[in-house]
Amino acid sequence: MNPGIRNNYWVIVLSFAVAMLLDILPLPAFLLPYWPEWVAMTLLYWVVALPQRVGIMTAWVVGLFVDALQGSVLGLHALSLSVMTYFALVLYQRVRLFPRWKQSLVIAMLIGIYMLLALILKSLTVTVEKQFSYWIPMLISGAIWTWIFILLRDIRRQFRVN
Amino acid sequence: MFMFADHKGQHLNTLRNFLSTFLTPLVYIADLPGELAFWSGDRIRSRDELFEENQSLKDEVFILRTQLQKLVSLKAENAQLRNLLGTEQKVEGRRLVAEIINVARDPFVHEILLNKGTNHGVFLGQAVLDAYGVMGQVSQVSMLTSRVLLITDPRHAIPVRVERSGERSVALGDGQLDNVTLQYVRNTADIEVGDLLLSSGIGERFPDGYPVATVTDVTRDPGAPYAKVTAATEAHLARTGQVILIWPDQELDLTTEEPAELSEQSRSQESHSQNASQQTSDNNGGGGL
Repeated sequence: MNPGIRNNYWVIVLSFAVAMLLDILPLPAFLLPYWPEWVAMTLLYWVVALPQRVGIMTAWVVGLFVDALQGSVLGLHALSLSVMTYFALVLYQRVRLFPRWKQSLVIAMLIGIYMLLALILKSLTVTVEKQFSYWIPMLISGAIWTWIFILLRDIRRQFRVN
Repeated sequence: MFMFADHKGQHLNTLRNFLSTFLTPLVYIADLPGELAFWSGDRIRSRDELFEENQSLKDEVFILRTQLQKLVSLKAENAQLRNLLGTEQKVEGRRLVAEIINVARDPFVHEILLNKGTNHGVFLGQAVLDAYGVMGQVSQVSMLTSRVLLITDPRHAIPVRVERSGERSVALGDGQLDNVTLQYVRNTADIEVGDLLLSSGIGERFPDGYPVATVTDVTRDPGAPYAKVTAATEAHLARTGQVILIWPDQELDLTTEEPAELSEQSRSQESHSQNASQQTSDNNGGGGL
């Protein structure tokens, strides 16, 4: 490795910034229930790709920023993302070897865990209605995971983030 | 632990404020596409359309002007009556137009983000209106942005009175945009479909007499202790782009005769101190609405 390149951490930071941007983008109402969980997906990619760099602490800090952006109780997304990252860290070696469709399933499941936790924590402060549409982003996230994976992998290789 | 501290106490407000301020550029960038659409919608227009719009605006100005004439005389009369009664006159508080730069994506909360913050004197609990009625109140402020809890959020309640009969009640958000429900309305209460609900000013969070909602449905079940009343909000919660932040009306001391001399600065300071006292009184009252 070229010592002058210094790992390029800013790429990771930038990818999270873009994910958060996509997360708060004002959307037309019909798209709203289908919008995937960009931040969680980006986080999962980096955890699977660079588990020695991006871990629970990163997840917690990113979650705190998401909380500030969404105006939820501070720590809500931080905790949910941290727990999700824990499971991802347990699974990452297997996830890397899975075929694409199986990867998507695992990612959807992990995002499901994150959304479930966020929902439970939210229900402590906000009145939450049971509705199926809450879970659609989980399925969408799983469905587009392959492309997100390829995109972020190419970016990682391009900038030699490690 | 962390969440509990944030929810119950105010200790983390500085951290939240810092994080929100730090993330402000992101919010602005996210708002750009919409802003661009608005901008092009404004600029790219046919001449005929502009003519038409100009004409209709002129008509509207004319109508509003004529209505204003009446208001001026009414204001004078009101002041005179107040003088006779020996009560304080009220000076209209400061007003500030703000733009909505983001809307909460979470389906369970009804919140919007405005482009004004503590730098513009916005404070926690401040009332927010649009051109048609009450929208909500400020629930979080950072330096350049503030988050507004809308009156339709299930966590929100606003004291109201029926314009026609004066019946008082509390309007709770029920989680549907453009809808609120009234709580504790007696079965015999004088309230009908079509009644206008005004903010009652009780609780001192919202100013008195602004339209809140119109009653759309009254169900009186003799077996239930209270009638079920739903109302449609007057404010266009899902459609407006601009809102008005209002500062509380000032109580004018009749001995000092210089209402117009009050500088903007001192006004905002006074409103701050008023708000502070309001906050403490709320705390004493076991948490305001």
